[in-house]
Amino acid sequence: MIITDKNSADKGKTAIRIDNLTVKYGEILALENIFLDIKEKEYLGIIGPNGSGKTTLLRAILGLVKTFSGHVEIYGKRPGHTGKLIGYVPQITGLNRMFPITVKDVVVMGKLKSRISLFHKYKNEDMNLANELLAKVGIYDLRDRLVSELSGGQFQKMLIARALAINPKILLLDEPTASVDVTSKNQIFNILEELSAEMTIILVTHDLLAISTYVHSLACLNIRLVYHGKTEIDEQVIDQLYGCGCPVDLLAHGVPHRVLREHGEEE
Amino acid sequence: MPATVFQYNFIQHAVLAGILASVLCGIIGIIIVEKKLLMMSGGIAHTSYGGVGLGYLLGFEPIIGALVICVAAALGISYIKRKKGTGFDVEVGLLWSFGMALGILFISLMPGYPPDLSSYLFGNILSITKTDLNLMTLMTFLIIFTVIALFNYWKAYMFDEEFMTVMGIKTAFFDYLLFVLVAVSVVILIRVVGIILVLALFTSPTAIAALLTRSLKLRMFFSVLIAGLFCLTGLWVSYVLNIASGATIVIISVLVYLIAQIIFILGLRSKARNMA
Repeated sequence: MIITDKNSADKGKTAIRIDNLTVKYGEILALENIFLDIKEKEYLGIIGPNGSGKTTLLRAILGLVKTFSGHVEIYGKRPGHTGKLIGYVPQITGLNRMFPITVKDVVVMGKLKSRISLFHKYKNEDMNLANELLAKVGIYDLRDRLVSELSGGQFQKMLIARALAINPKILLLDEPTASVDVTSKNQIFNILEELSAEMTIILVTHDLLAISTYVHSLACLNIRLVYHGKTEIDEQVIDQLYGCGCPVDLLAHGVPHRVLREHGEEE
Repeated sequence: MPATVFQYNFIQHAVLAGILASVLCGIIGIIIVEKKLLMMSGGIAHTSYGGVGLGYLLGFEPIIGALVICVAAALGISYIKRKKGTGFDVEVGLLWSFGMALGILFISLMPGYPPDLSSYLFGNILSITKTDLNLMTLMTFLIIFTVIALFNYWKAYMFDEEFMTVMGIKTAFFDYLLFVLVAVSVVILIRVVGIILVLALFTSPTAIAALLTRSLKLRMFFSVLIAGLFCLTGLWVSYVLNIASGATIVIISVLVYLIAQIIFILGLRSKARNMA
């Protein structure tokens, strides 16, 4: 059963419509019967246990996985045919961090033409934009460094700048604060908070504190969509999401605070 | 090697072939290593044996047979890669053996004494003909043009292919193109170091260049220079000692790589000691 917070179902244009989406990897069910409407300029956090299909949902929106049934629309377009509507910040674990390339060269990649052109050269305005975006995410001074010299937090900020170089209407981020220190984490969330006024943001995270502090709406996923609505959720949702005897500590006002390693463990 | 030997056509051909091979190894080797496509390149290389056998059996230039079979294998492997994503070692391994088996079968079907294919397996830079050289020159220029003309795209493809897909860039095009380029490079290198030894020439110069510089363009440049050094030194040593040229080139490549790695590790340790 999906619990929907009717009050938070705001009016406004739909940016992404997911209609009865099911995704399978062979025989393994990754997502089942997902219905989700994401409004324009919504700042949505997606939480769920490991293997709950969070990354798969992002990849379905991006057109990077084959859907088993149902469909996804981004401003009425099919995934994979959205041109530069979507900026994507992937998990850094999948990238070659030793690749010999400078930070500025990575960011300016966002200005590559979708239609392959021979002898493509970046314009001066592309390089200026890359510099502006690096300043915006706070790593302008590192622009000529190699990516192999960046910390996890700096690398994430560079990927955010690259995604912004596309000038997207929607920004998807897959665990951008995984394995970064607290200062970088807060900086990244502040950047996203600022961006949320300009674009739709979908943030996959395990950071429940961020959910309660920064994002504006929440989707709880566990193969199926358990909840979509305001960030203040109750124990019933948490139980559905993480199972009975759930390892989630709740704050007094009902906002999940953190996931404990073992049930009953104190903070 | 005395200067007089350069009056011989086969030596001139060998030197030119070594230079062309170096250019390819330097450029394509970087892409193969950064995209971690070494085993797939090995698979493509070994299928070419089937083409060589087919060429002998049907009476056309074996290197053309190798080119056709290699390109077909490359397209097949890139199709499987796109369908399966990761974990297609089984298919690559099977294709690897299948190509070799086809070569052996075709040769065994030939009437009379079977030809000696060891120059295709282990290379013989001294046996390169004018036709081989023309074909190598044409294909080298084709590869250089493809890499330079699409350099910014290749850079993005090597760093984060998925991001290109999200931006609406047809990465399938780059997948197929890269594998075809690998196939063409393999065919060029077959005459220099042979089907079995080709992987060393793709990796060793690239890996040494990676120790010398962190810039992608410079890495390609150094890689070309180092590969050239290996090919020409190997050619010279094999001529002087009258030993197999392909094997000599590969042994030099591997030994120099090992020495470079040892020097690099010792350098790192001494740097760490100085900092402590």
